[in-house]
Amino acid sequence: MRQMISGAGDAPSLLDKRLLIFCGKGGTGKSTVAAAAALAAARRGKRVLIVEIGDHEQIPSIFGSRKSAGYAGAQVAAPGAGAPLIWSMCLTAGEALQEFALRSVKFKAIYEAVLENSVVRFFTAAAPGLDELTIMGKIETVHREAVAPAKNSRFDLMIFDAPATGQGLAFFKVPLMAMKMARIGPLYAKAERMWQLVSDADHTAFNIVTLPEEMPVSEAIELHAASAAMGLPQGKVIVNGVYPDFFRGDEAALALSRKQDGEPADLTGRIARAALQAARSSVARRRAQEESIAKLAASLPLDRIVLPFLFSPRVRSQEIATLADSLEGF
Amino acid sequence: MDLEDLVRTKKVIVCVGSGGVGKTTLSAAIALKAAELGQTVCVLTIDPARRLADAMGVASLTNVATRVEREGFEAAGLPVPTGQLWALMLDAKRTWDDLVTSYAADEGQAERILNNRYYQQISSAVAGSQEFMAMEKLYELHNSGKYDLLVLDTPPTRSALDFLDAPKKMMGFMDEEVLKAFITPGGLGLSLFQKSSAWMLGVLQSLTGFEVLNDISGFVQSFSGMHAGFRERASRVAALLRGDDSAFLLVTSPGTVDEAAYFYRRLVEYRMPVGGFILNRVHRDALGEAGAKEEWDAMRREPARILAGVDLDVSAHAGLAVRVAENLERYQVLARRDTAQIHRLERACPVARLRRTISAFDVDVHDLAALDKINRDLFRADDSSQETP
Repeated sequence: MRQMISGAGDAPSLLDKRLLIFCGKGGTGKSTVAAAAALAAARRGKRVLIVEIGDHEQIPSIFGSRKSAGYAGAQVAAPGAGAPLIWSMCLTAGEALQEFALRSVKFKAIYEAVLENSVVRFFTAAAPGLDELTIMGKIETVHREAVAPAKNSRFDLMIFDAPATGQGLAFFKVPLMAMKMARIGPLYAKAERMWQLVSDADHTAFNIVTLPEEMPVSEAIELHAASAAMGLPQGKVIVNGVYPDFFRGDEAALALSRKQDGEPADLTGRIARAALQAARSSVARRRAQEESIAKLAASLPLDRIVLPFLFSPRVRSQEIATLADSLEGF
Repeated sequence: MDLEDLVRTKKVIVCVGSGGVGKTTLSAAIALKAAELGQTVCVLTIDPARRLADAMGVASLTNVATRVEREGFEAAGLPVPTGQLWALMLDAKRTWDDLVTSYAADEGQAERILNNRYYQQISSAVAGSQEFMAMEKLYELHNSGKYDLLVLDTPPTRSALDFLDAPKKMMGFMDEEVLKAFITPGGLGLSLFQKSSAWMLGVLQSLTGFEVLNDISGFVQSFSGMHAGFRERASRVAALLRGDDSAFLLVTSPGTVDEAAYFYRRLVEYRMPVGGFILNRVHRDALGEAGAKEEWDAMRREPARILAGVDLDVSAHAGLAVRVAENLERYQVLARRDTAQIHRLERACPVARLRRTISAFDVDVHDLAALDKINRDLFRADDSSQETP
């Protein structure tokens, strides 16, 4: 079982890629994993840019930075000991559309007259996938300008903290959809570049983050099938929050075997029982997790990386450093 | 009003919360309780992950309600409830199509709308579409008079409250006045505003390659006359949700209380009836009793006493006591974190009344028996410490 949980780890490191995508169900800790992967890459001397999207920026605070990196991006962590700085940026569809429109329209006055117009806003809300398209467009632009160049690039690696499962896949479908609908013209060319970036097996890997629980595992299996069918190059699956194998087999059996009689009369007895119940809970959780991981192993032909459950009040730099240790072989 | 009163008296209960907090499971548990109380209840989910179907022991769920049969309860070792438990998984596109078909003047009109690309985009791809149809389905089931109670499990959208805006937003897509602005470029008497709109749409169209104008124009023409019916229905749905027969429950885990507080403020702002909070997956403080922490400190220094306290033979398991002690310390970190988060929620929403806590479970909840176990926590009689005065 231990072997099964640790998974195989002989593949070449994904940290040498130029784009790592992290996708998975909500609540699985994608942002934490993205941050830890960035730190693991930085420790190898990579200059990393993390890209997240939406209104709730998380990456800077995970690294303990109080400042927002925002749309323009900023340095969020200095791992030290010769490791390069880590940067992040947080994209919103509104800002990406504004930038796209400004680049296309060129004149700010016209842009304002037009994009501030409620009818046009209405159109942009109705156009399917426009949000995803503009954000993907921005990601492609940043990657092409700052990560991809062989000479004088600013970053070695971009890490994309993609939105939760359903919405996440929509992101990667949009370029394909746009290519189908546009057929020719500037949009087609742009969409084609986006698709080339995310489907480039040499430089890109689509990774799935999950928890060792039944439903997240089922969703991870479905996400793998759907993303592989689309043609996204599959990376690894990261199982987050795995309980420690804290009690040895015979101890576990012993702890579980104790019958619960009535309420102990004295405080010492009650505390001892609470401690034993916590031990029993720990053993039961670990077992349930092992079952889920076994199901994942049986259905998902990807390398697994296991990250430990963190018994700490908050995820901060210290916790990220612990997780990065587990991601060294990523 | 406690949770059981809500289940007994309300006709609609809406569970709201961020993704991954257990909304689907708790919706199903509440519905199970209602059935046990003798009600005919239907739980609606939009969750594509089949969680609800799994939890209820139903092979698959569709856009039409499925009843959980007596064999299902028997298999789970539960008494067959006196009421009826039904479940439904919303198919947004299907519900849209049904609605169009029922409001269209004739088959030809329905056909034209169903085949229109703009309609197809609105009904499947536009954010808010699913939420709007969840409301629609809720209203349809409510009107059928078939159920005493409907429990709605809302989708885990990023903002989780999109469904509140959805009816208004979706009505906006179909507003004839707005749509006319799209389809009369160059017409007589157009304002400068309309001209610039038309021009910009032309620019966007050439950039994107979408044949937006033609599609919208066709949609407006074929939708003609149906708009009033849709609008009236949307306002009746809103009235149902705001009325005395409905209650919103905010589901949260200790890690997401900030979002829960935000949802609470939004619900109040929208004048929606908030039933209260359900805090899911809470680690309980094992050393909450007076003097327990001091006693624990003493026991920790002599781990053997821990095992002696539960009559375990210490000598054979020297290492076990140490690990049991370390393990409890770790759990206490989680318990303290959860307690702090609950206080944080209390400070943020001081007037919210109903508050229930559900323990963190050690196994996954995926059958009726597990739902029943949750209900022992969710509906436990003596919970005065959990209620705000």
